[in-house]
Amino acid sequence: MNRTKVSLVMVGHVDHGKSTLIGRILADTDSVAKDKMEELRKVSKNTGNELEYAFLLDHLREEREQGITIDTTQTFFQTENREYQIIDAPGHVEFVKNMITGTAQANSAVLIVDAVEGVMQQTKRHAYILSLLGIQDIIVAVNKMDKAGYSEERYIEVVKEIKEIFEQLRLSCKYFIPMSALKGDNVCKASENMKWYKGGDFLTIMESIEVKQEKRECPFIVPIQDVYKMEDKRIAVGRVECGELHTGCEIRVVQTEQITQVQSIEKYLEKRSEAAAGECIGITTKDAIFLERGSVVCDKEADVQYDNVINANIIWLERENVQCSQRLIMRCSTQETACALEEVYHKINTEQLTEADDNDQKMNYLDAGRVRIRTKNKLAFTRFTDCENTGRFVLLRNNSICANGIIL
Amino acid sequence: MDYLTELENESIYLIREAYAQFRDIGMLWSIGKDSTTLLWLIRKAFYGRVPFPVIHLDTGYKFKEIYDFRDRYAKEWGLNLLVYRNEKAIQNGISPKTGKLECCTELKTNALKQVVAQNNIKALYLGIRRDEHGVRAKERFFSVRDSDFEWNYKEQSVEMWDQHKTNAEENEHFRIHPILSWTERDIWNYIKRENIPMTKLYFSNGSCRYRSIGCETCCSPIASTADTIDKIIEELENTNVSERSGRAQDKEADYMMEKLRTLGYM
Ligand SMILES: Nc1nc2c(ncn2[C@@H]2O[C@H](COP(=O)(O)OP(=O)(O)OP(=O)(O)O)[C@@H](O)[C@H]2O)c(=O)[nH]1
Ligand SMILES: [Mg+2]
Repeated sequence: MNRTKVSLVMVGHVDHGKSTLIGRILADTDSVAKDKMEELRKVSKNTGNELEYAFLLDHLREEREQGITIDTTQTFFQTENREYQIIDAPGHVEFVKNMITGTAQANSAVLIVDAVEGVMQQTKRHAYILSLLGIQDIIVAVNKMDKAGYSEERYIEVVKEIKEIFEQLRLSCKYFIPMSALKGDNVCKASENMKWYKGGDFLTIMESIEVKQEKRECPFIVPIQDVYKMEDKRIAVGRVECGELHTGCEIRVVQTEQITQVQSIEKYLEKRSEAAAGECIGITTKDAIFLERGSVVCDKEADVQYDNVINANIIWLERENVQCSQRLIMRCSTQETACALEEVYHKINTEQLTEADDNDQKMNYLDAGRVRIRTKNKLAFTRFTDCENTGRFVLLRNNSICANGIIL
Repeated sequence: MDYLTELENESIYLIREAYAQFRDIGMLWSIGKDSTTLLWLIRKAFYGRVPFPVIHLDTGYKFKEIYDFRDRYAKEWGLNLLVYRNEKAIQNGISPKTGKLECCTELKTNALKQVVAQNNIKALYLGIRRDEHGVRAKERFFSVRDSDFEWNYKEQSVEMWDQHKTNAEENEHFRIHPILSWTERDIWNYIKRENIPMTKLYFSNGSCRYRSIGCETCCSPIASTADTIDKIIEELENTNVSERSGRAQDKEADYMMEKLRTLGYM
């Protein structure tokens, strides 16, 4: 039981075969229970396919009736060394919010492109979203090769189109695979129909994607989630977002600039003298300093900024547009404050990946852009590239998440 | 960090987030393996002292072992246990025999509505998992239920980077799902690692055991000789049947699970 966890999301334009590919992998690796396979056979009638593999993922009545994924979903399967969490994302433009919800939980991605249709609007938009979310390990699957006569020529054309986009977005991609998710070509075994392709089937490639190691070297940061008053002490709880800490080490509270030492690291029924990135812990401090939800404690050396001006890349997720100076709420790690966009520059139309020429200081539905945000209260944050969880945020309007962004 | 520890941390983070957002919170404990594992994680998150009510919806059709287990550990763990029965429906003779959907609706959904209203609960922790059912796989960690307890699965909110929707209208409440990403195997591996007590019903009596436990009337045991956790884990590695196949609610043909879900059933 020492398998590593890999979270993989399938993205791409509507109907290009994301759900089918996941379903096919599950079926071909015998990961679907017998009773579920029988059910699948039954519900696949009327679809024209003997087995509509996508229905292993698309479970809502509306999804099956319309043959479309509406909301993101997840399925789990294991290989000898890995535990996979496979995330299916919807490709329809109506459901980009759900696509982002799914994709944000992944650390690698598969971009699926229909060999006949080639690159479409959501192919571009999803590629942009991958770059915004900082997902770098991308596999490109050129699907429905059966419909393109298994043509190498067509495959090369599509790959070229995609490479152009990746270059523009500075995304890296090591793997391109021609496949037919429906027929099973190059999914879990090499295709007889595409002998010209030598790169290995999807499952093999999936097994070889690298799993990111946690950064250990950097100074630690712990945003405080809550403070629990126990009989004899107050325990401040939170997750170590990067680095390592140990009892006795010096800590700084970003907001108050107080400096003290870690008295104890608290985990239920465990004696701990140190904690590493990713761990949920509690701490008590040597001096009685005031901590509350939103306090950020860190190593003295940690490069945490404390400011009310933030430069970020964001994407706007609501139909109703947003204008500068409109009041929004920002949530970053465990902090929350009112804020407003102060300036919008480099606005990008994510469907075409072109820079918008109007500079109207508004962001419309699914526009992305570089912005300067002014927050009401100062915020403790890092750059996204220094520490992911303290370098990204969401914006809320009327209690709903309406944008997300990464700090530059 | 190994995989189970990663899951544990994800769950504890969610548990603490929910409690930071909603002090009027409760937990639903069915005494089954999932909610008992959740309870274990909650005890860890709060250093052994669960700071909110732990609710058991008693349909009256539960196994005797469940009642015994519940009372024993409620005491041992110092829980603020709230047992709730929809007495009126029981008196009116609602039972699985009069109709399964109606029985679930009355004895679970409506019972839950009453508890939530009476205790002014704004959020409820539930031990559901994505791999139980394709509809559950679409859930959010923080999921809104409207005043009729319906789940609007077609318009779920954005949830990312540990940021969740946390504001609901008056009369709405949140379901919090800290173990959503766990699979059945993860649960058993964790039970083993942590030595979490479990009711005997999961272990084979020689010929069969329960793989999923609801009401005695509506779930059937599977043939199994697995009488230890190790054997259960081994059985799961080799099984070819889905977890809830022994439960009457899940037959997909008429989308019953979805119907129950939108009706607010857990
Ligand atoms: N011929 C052929 N058809 C395919 C292939 N892969 C998928 N399809 C079909 O394409 C249709 C759409 O497939 P899905 O898997 O639902 O597509 P999707 O990308 O998940 O679509 P959304 O989730 O709605 O964006 C279905 O009817 C599939 O049977 C393929 O390799 N070849
Ligand atoms: Mg799909």
